Formats: sequence, structure tokens, C-alpha cells
Amino acid sequence: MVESTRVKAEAYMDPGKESGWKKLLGPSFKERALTGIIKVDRVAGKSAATRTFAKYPLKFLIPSKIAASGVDVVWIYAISYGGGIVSNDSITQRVEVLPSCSAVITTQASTKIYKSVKGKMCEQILQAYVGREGLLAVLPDPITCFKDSKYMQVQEFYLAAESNLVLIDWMTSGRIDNGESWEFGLYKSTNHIYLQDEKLDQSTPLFLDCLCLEQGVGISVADRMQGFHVIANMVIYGPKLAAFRAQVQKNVQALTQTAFTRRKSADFTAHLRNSRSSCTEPLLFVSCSTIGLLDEGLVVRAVASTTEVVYDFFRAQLAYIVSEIGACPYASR
Amino acid sequence: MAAMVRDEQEVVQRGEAGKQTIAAASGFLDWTTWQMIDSILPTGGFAHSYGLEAAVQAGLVYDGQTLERFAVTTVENAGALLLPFVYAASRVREMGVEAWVVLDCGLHAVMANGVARAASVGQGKALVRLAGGVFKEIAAEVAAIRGCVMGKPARAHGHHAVVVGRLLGLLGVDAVTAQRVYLYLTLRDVLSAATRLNLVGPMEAALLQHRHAQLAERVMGKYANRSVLDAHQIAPVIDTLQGSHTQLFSRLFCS
Repeated sequence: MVESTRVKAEAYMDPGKESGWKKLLGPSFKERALTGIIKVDRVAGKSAATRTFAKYPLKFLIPSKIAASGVDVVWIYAISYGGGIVSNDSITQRVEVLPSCSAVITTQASTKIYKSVKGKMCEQILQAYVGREGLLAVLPDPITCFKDSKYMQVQEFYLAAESNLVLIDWMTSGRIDNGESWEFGLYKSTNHIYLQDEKLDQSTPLFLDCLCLEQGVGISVADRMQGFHVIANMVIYGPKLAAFRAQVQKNVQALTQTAFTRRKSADFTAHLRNSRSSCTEPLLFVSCSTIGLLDEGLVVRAVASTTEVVYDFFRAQLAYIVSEIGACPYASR
Repeated sequence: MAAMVRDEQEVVQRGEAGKQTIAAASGFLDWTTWQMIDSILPTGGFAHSYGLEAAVQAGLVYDGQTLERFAVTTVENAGALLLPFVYAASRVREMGVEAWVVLDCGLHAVMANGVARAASVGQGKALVRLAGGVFKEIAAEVAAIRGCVMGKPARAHGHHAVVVGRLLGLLGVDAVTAQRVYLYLTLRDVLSAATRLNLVGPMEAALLQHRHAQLAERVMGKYANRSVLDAHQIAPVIDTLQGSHTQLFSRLFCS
């Protein structure tokens, strides 16, 4: 066990409050104006959005009647005009959830990433702070990268002591119904979670994750994906979610058992050996690992052949925290 | 060894007269490098399959062709994710022990897959234990790392990539060779696991190892000498399957 990693050093692992973006995005950082700001604070003893700002191509919807009555949480729908992001668009958001407040950020449908024009990229950047005993749940629909699109996403979370986070980040291979699969130019998603020590004004990295899918020097992205069409990640952190983590861990282990036993069926093996053959049953492989010095976090990774099976998985898990988040964002999908 | 590198530089300045000393110094470096990648060095690399065993049990790898796909992806993933850490750790002149501890803890946060993380720590620690007794010329530096990793309380985890990088750097091996060594170890261990899982025979494994040297050089060309800021994964399917390794009903490997 490592007692302390709070060492001052010039490595990227030890960013100050503002420097993480700068280091990841390079000198162009300063030119990026914020397209969205949200602040959730306590008003009359309840969580409320006290500041919202959004400009093209981003829009926020903050309906008040989503969460079941009696659950103290603000629901925020982040919407882009046209339901997608066109090349050269950059969405940069900052979200602050103050102590003891709860917020859910979600979307209304999958985010489409349109074809890159003149090699330009689509970007989404999110920086979020969660205060002591606060809860932030980022539960979007998947990103769908169209043929020849280029997408880059950076999400940074700074968590105060005793704060809680549920993060879902997932993507699909393209317009699968049109036969388009893994034909985008670039998909890069970075999720960094830092634990903040307010007294020392320092942050310690808890989770530094980056997935990049593009044509490399080995085999193609499609060959690497072996017939799967969906990649999904879920991170759960914080004391309020300890029972939720234990339950998810149990469910994931049960699903793993099923997946590894099922492969013995001839149908399943045939599917794996020929990714173009149709398989009657959708495939879902899922595994999880604890993170943090005291195993106070859980990372769930999944790959699946259909979006539906992942929606089903997330719905089943999020049902355990409806008392915290007020409703399930994927209920009608 | 560090002294020998300095000698080498002096010799270069002295020109023709020092050629023999250069040969001796670089010859010794070769021996050190070979020892580092030799299977006789008991670091426990052969206890790990890099997710191959899980992929076999999931039905994704079942013959020479699917093994090749797996090996190519694993080597490229090691290049994209871990070479930046080997590179940073190997530049010992720029990186003191404190910075190395931060690098190691950063890699710990990068390795969210519990199975791969445990394998990396296991191999790294074994190497630290071993290095103090074998590479006497850098005993003091190794003791410093050992203190961080195995002291009470421990301050670092001892991940394989940063231990390999730092040891090679301390021994005077250049950063490019250090990264090549790391890829070699990855490919060697995957193919060794493949023979023991009976996917291919030893002859075919040797053929694959030779053939993939070209791939490994392409991986070097694309991913060598990168900043840790660029470290990323490229193989989500293998990563997900490897995470299930400890759940397998029967298993031969630790990871």
C-alpha cells in the first residue's frame, strides 16, 4: 500500500487546479472559450442550478420534474443543435457541484459525430468539480462516430473528500444499421479523475484513462474490435456509493460467468469465428476492477455487439441508485 | 556502468586512440541488455499471459491466425500505453527518485485493470528485489528504489514499465534500447504463453517472434520517445477480457 503520493514534481501527474487542461490540450488551451457553465448550489436547503450559461453549439435543459419527489437532485440535459457535433465544433463545459449538492448530467439521445471536413476535429471538453459530500452523475447516451469523422474528448473530474461520482462514457462503431462500422478517422476519449486535498491545495490522480482508436501500425480498428460494436466504461467513486459498487461488482461477476460459460454453445463460437455471420443472441463481455488506495472506486469495462444490451446493463445497475439520482436516464431507450 | 558511459564520452573526445575502450564499453552494455531480456533472469514474466488465457477461454483466440491478431494488438497496446513510461523512467539524469515515485503512482492510476495492474506490480517488484543482488554497480540506486517500493510505509508501487526503464537507464542503456527491450519482453511473454496454452508449437512461436520484429519496429517508430501525456490504450476488447481473468474457472497464468 502506498501511503502518500503527494510529491511535488514536474510530472503531469501532479497538476494544479487549472493546469490539467493546459497540459493535455497544449498551447491552444487559452483560445478555447467556455461554451457552457453550470453551478449547482444549495438554495433553501435543496440543490439548484444557480448559474447556467450556454452558447452555440451547446444548450442546457434543466427540467424540474424528472427526479422522483423527495430526491434532492438537479437534472441537466446537455444538448447540441442538431443532435450532433460537426467538424471544427468545440464544446467546452465547466460544471461545479458544491458541497452536499447532487446533479445528473445526461443527453436526450446519442451524440452523432459528423464527417470531418478538411481534417478538422470535433471536440468535447468537460471539467467538473464536486464538493464535499456532493454527487455528480454523468450519464450520457453513447457517442456515435460516423464514417470519416474525427472526435476528441477530454473529461476531468476534481473530487473533494467524501464526494461521489458516477461516470459513464461509451461509444458505438457508427451507423450500424447502414452497415457502417469502425470507419471513423479518430476517436480519442480521455477521462481523468483527481482527488483534491483542500488543505494542501494539491490533487492526486486516482484514474488516468485514455482510449484512442485510429489506424495504428498493426491491424485495423475493426479487426481489433473482433465483431463488437460498443465500448463502454463506468466509474463509481465515493462513500455514498459503497453499497452500489458492491452490488455492481456482484452483477458483473455473474455476467462474466455467463459469458464465459456460454461460449461453449456452437452458435456463439460460430459468431466469433465469423464476425459477419448473424448471431441470434447479443454478446456482452464485462469486467470490473477496484481503484483507489482503499478500493473506494470501481471501474467497469464492457464490450458488446449491440447498443441495446449495454442500455439494458446500465439500466439494471442504475436502478440501485434511483434513490440518489431520482430516475434512470435510460428508462425510455 | 554510469562511469563507463562517461569513459565512453571521454574516449570519443580523444578520437582514434580510444577506439578499443569504446568497443569494450559498448560490448559490456550489450551483455547487460541481453541479460535483462534473458529468460534465465527470474522475474516471473512467464507467469503472465497478458490476457491471452482469458481471450482463449472467451473463444476469441483459437488458432495461429487469431493468436497473431492478439499478439500484434498486445504489442501495439504496450507501445501506446507503456513505452512513454519506460522512456520517462529511463532518462535517469533528468529524473530523481522523487519524480520516479510520482511517475510510478501516475502509472498506477493509468492501469485501471486490476489484473494487469497486479501483474505489473508483481513483475516490477520481483525485478527490484533481484536487481540489488545482480547489478552491484548500481546497488545504491537500486536500494533507493527498493526503499520506496518495499519500505514501510511504501511510497511507490513498483510497476514493471518504470522499474525496467529506470534500471536500464541506471545501467547506462540508452532510452531507445530500453523501450525496445520492453517491447521484446511483451512479445516474448505473449508467445511463450501461447505455446504453453497449446495454441502454437515452439517452432511456430519462433517464426511469429521473428516475423513480428518488423511490427515491433513499426511500433517503435510510432510510439517511442513519447511523453506520458500521450499514453493511451488501443485495445478495449483485450482489456475487458483480461479484467475477467481472476474469474476464470481454471487457469494456468496469473494474468
